[in-house]
Amino acid sequence: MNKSIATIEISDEPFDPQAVHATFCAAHKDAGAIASFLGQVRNEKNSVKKLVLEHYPGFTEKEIQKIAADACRRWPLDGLCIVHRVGDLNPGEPIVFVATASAHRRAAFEAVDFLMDYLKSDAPFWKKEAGESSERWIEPREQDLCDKMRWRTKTAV
Amino acid sequence: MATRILFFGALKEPAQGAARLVDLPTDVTNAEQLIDWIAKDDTALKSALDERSVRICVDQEITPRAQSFETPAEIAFLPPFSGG
Repeated sequence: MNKSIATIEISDEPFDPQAVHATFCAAHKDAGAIASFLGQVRNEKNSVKKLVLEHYPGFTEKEIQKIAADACRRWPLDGLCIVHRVGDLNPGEPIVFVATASAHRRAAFEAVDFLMDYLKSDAPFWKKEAGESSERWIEPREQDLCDKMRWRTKTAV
Repeated sequence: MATRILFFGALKEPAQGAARLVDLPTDVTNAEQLIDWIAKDDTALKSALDERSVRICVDQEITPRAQSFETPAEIAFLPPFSGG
């Protein structure tokens, strides 16, 4: 993968997904299609739970680069952008933003879907829910594994 | 040479910490032997690290448990991921 087409950032500070999106669009004015996804901390009623996200500095970035390179092999992308938080997050805060640019919409849509499925299952992050009096490390969901399996034969190279 | 051992996610609990600096004995040459050594007399830690879903990273490369290593700078135990 030509590294200049992938912007990957792990941020321990809050980020503005609208600003990231605007920057990405400005960098890809020639692309016919730009697709994106924003993951936020779910805001459950009567819940003051915050999320704590951990990563393995150096290794996490390398693994995300591999996922991005895989997306670039499967689809003709002009660019992609991944921003992922670590640290303490409150309900409603952005956790992860993904955007892709391509000549046509099918590649842009599918690459965002693929990147999110792989970020959920193959990116080295660990999430902990912290309430007032208890903490719980989150286990991967069976659904996330099923979601990843969809890409096994579809567009695999 | 000292080796840094890292524990991520829920493994911090049985490990009672996120990191240890150790001098590996010469007869510890793979992850299985490392687990037996660091979890000697600690059945909770041994049980947690023996879980097949825990992956081992040697110098930031995923490594099979039986694969030999030589004077690694860093070994990390990674439970299943939950990002995104």
